[in-house]
Amino acid sequence: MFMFELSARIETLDRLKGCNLEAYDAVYAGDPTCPLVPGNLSYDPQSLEEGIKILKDLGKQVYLSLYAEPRNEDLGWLDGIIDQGAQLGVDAFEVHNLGVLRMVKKKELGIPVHVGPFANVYTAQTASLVGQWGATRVAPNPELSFSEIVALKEGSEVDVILQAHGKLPLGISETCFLLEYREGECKDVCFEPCWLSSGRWKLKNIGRATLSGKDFCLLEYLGTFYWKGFRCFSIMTLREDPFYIERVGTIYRAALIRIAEGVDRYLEPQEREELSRLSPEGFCNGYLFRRAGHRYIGRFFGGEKITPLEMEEGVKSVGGVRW
Amino acid sequence: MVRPKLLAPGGSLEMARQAFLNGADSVYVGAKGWSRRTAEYELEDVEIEAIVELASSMGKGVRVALNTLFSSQELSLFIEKLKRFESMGVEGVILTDPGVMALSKELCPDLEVHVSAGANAINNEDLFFYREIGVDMVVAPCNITVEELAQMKRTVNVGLEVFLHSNTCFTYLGKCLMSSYFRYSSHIDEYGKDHYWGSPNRGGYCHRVCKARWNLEDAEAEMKNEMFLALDDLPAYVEAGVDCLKIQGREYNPRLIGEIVALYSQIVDSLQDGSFYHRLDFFRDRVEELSLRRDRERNRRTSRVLEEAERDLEVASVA
Repeated sequence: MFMFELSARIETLDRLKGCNLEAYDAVYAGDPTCPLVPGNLSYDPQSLEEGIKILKDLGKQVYLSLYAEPRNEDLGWLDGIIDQGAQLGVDAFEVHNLGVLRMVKKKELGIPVHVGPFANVYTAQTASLVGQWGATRVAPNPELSFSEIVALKEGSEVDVILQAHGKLPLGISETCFLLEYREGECKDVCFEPCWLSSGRWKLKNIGRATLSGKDFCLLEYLGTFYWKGFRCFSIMTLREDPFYIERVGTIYRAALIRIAEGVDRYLEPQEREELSRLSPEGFCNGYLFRRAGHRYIGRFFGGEKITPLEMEEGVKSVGGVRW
Repeated sequence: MVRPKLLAPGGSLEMARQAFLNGADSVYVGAKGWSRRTAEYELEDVEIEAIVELASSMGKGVRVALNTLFSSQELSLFIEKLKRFESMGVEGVILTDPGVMALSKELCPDLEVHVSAGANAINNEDLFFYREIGVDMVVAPCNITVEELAQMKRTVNVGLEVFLHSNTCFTYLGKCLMSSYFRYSSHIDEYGKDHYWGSPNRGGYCHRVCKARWNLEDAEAEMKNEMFLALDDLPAYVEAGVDCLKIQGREYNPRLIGEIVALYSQIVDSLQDGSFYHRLDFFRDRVEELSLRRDRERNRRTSRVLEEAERDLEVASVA
């Protein structure tokens, strides 16, 4: 019986070899934000071949995460990497661009397609439309609230994957911010993400993508979504260190197992504390409550109180909370 | 050489009048709560109806921007709006959500569906996708090059619209949540429409967080936004067969919009009669002068929204 799926994002072969992925069922292979990431699994054919072999040997599902913002000049190599991924037996392609969805559909490969978080899926209508174009799973845009996520799932036939933890993808640019502000080439700057601050505001930049400073955290609402029928969860692990990837995955896996076994109080205090230590900038989940994304609303992690209206229209409407 | 249509902003009845009088073929307007602009630059249905009547009396057209990424639960409200605008006689609607585009074409096949720049159609395959779900026109994001536009026109049989006078964002348009990450709220109006304040994708109000003073490892860093003027590229756009040239700026004053439209109308005429290069210096000076006035207005607004957002974050941090 399929209890749940927990996935991570791994950009390169080196990072794949350096991570303990025991807690994860699946890996989104490759960095969709920039093809030029040195050794990017979704750009470099040699790395992809070895990467898929390693992941298959570990018993993981492999989803090839394709470049999110391809221009015409990118379509040729994308075409090649899709063919190669299919030959090597990837379990799904992740697309963030509707043109790439069309490219995969045209090939009639019989391989599932996931529509990723940069694709701007906001409505059940779009989820259904991409379903007609071959998508089997969609990641809703991070701005959606509790009730909107549920409406999207209930209004379409495709499965929905939720980001459970990690930095939120807040933007994707045409050029690399790191190359602009640091000396050296891609290989010198790419794996040294930068922190941008402005007063109390903080953001993380990994080159072409800007991420939230805080970690989005679904832990205390994980059961709410699980009991509503959501089974696929991902951890945003781009440019996170191996210890973070291993420990966050382990904590979420343990929580999901308890939830799937029907344990009401699935949150363990020591896991909450460890999670807090792993995210020194703090947590956020405001979008779920129709508030600013950087805020955290909830009973734990020093969260702001849920108003009665938010409880009624948000959390309760999707099944309530059993901490 | 086919003369491309000139599309101008219709932020008010007066702005639409100025645009039409100065040579615009059509104006675009934002329906309150449904377009990628803040409410003060959007219009009630009755105001849109007045602009449609004005346009009709002058042989011009009106497009309605319904290009927010709204909620699944608001679909019935959207359909109501769509049918109302169709019955008013608008020529088309500008949309961002692909599912909603397909649905609109199914419900109102005679209404033109335009893909908003916020949908970020950036390659030929994107254009094929949109054409195959029935859209009539795709608005190209500002960062698409002339060569790419020409390639798109050669390859895909769908209308193509470009901005003449605009600003590029730090991120790809429609792919930025930085504003709503720091400041966001929503309220439901008397019609049941949710207004997502602070999300440019959903409610149009962008706090321009990227324009704040950012520090990177103790040094100042800038998230670049660039003003975009297409003057030198205009002959190539027309040569490439671009169907529509769009002037942005529902938020500017009507007189300035009238002057910008008049200038670009002259420029397009000059491309038709062959006098463009003889008058290029004059056009360049005039475009720069108008750009300065436009940017003064824009910068005033940027300072205001940034101050508001920073103040709000102080309050949230204390709470």
